[in-house]
Amino acid sequence: MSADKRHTGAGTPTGPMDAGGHPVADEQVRAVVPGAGEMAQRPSRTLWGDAWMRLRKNKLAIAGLVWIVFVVTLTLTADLWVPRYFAEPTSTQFGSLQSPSLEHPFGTDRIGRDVFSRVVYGARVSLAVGVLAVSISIAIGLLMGSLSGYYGGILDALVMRTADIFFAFPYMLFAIALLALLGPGYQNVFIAIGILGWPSIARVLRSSILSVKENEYVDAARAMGASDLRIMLRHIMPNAIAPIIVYGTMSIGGAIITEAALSYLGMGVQPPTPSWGHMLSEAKALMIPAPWLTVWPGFAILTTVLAFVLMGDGLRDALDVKMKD
Amino acid sequence: MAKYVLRRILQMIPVFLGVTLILFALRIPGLLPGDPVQLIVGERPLTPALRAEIEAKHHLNEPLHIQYGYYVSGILQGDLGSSLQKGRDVTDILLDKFPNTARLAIAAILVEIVVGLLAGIISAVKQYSFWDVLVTLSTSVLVAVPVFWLGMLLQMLFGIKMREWTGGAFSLPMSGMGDPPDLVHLILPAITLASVSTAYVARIMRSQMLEAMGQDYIRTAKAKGLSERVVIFKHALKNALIPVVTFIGIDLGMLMAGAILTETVFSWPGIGREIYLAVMTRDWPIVMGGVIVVVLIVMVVNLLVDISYAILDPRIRYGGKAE
Repeated sequence: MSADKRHTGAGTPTGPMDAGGHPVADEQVRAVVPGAGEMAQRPSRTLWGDAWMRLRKNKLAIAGLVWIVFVVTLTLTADLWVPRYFAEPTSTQFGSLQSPSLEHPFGTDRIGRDVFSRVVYGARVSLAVGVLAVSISIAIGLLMGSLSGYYGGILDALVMRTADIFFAFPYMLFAIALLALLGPGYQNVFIAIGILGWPSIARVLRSSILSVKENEYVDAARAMGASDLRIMLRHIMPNAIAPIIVYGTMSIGGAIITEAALSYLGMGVQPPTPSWGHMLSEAKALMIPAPWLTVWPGFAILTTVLAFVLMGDGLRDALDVKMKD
Repeated sequence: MAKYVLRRILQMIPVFLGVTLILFALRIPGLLPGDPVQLIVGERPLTPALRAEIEAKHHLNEPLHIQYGYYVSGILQGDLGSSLQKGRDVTDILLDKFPNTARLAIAAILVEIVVGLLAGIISAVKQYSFWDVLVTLSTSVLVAVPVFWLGMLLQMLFGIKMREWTGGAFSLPMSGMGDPPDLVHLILPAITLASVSTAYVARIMRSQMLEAMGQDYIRTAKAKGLSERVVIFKHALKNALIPVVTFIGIDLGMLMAGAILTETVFSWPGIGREIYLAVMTRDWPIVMGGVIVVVLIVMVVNLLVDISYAILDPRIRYGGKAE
């Protein structure tokens, strides 16, 4: 269901990525690399195994990964410990605008809610919107991108011109216009962000399909009478998917920022559901008496988005994906 | 040259039609919640007579393709309808706000150029130095900072804390443009608006500069005994600048189109804030008209940027790309 699961799911069964894992590749290596005898005995690794080896050496990417795992664990287990040691995120039983203390690590807000538990529960909304929105973008983007990259011709022109139209809109404005019509709320936010994200995914996928499509193993599969769907799923997609993983990871960060911005403007997640963006809009009038209301939700957005960006950067290097900056 | 300009303008037409088609489709009854007639009358009570009158006036009883024709020709004649709350033409309202948006956009672009280029050049020339690490780290962080939060932090630091620390002697204005508009009010919004793009400019500048410094002609220039400064600024920079300028050009179009978040945080009376306020008050003609105007601004600025490249770089005129 999550973007990540889909990716590993698409990757694992395909095994070696080099033209279907023919032994040819190993012979070439042995011929070219001196001392390749040892390499031949090395357990053979898939592209994904190689990528993981490289990713592990990237400290920043691992820091990002650790932070993502930390935030996800925190949110998933929040029901177990937050109400026991802190407070329900919607309970208003505490004094208004208390500064941070042991009891309330991030202080309390205007109507006496515990800011720490609201930040923890806010992560739920942010992560869910991020993952769901990007899943929608990827689902539409995969369909459109493969139609246009695989079939080309009129279909390609049609999809790409539609993408151009989407790119003509400034992103935030389009999101706001869509939400103005759909109405605010959690569901509409991830639907709107998801719909706006597909053209980038489709473009990335299209260009990688175009380069993969030229490979001989695709011709071979076609000559053996494989159907378009089979060629697409078994031969092209596994080799074209790496840029989507990289782009999807970074997009989750982007979707989280967008959700926060929309909620800040009052068009996103509605109170009393805790959302980082909405907490910041409540903090706006209280900067002088209660700066902690501004600091913590923003810090949560920054670190979480940064984690996804670093992770995406790391994946890009590990999977050796070339992208325009 | 004329041929290139013509081709570029012709390319804009399908995109413009597509954009209007999407915005038009959003108003078709049944596709999305909301009755177009109700949208036009707003909160006023809707009688059958009023409904019939509005349907006739706005051609809502005609077939869809005819309605679309009216819609597009209205836009082309600069008719975007009139505001529900303010009783003024949407075109006039947006024209009023545009100079403020342009003012902020130009200030932000200046920040981008000065800070972004300098940071990029320094970190490339002194690769792996303290400054390079600083620039690389801060650009990665800046990309992940929500713009509106950065604005709030700057307000807190330079508007509120600064006044406390200096005993009320010094602080920067936190909202509005000043009356009459002055430069001090521009400082915080311009920095906020420029932040993310400045990070990108610095990154692109750094990588382009590093690439240029590795080229043969740079080695030749150094071998000729030219000074480091001449090599960097006359030889490397000139070639490294092209992609950076492309980015800044595109960004200018986006900034000219209004910055909803920055303008809202700083109560800057521009197009972006006007559209935001219109969404909040359900003033749909301003929202929809505003979107069209913004898209047109982006398209026109991009066109002008492309044309100026074609003048500067003849390769582009003959089908090449800017990069």
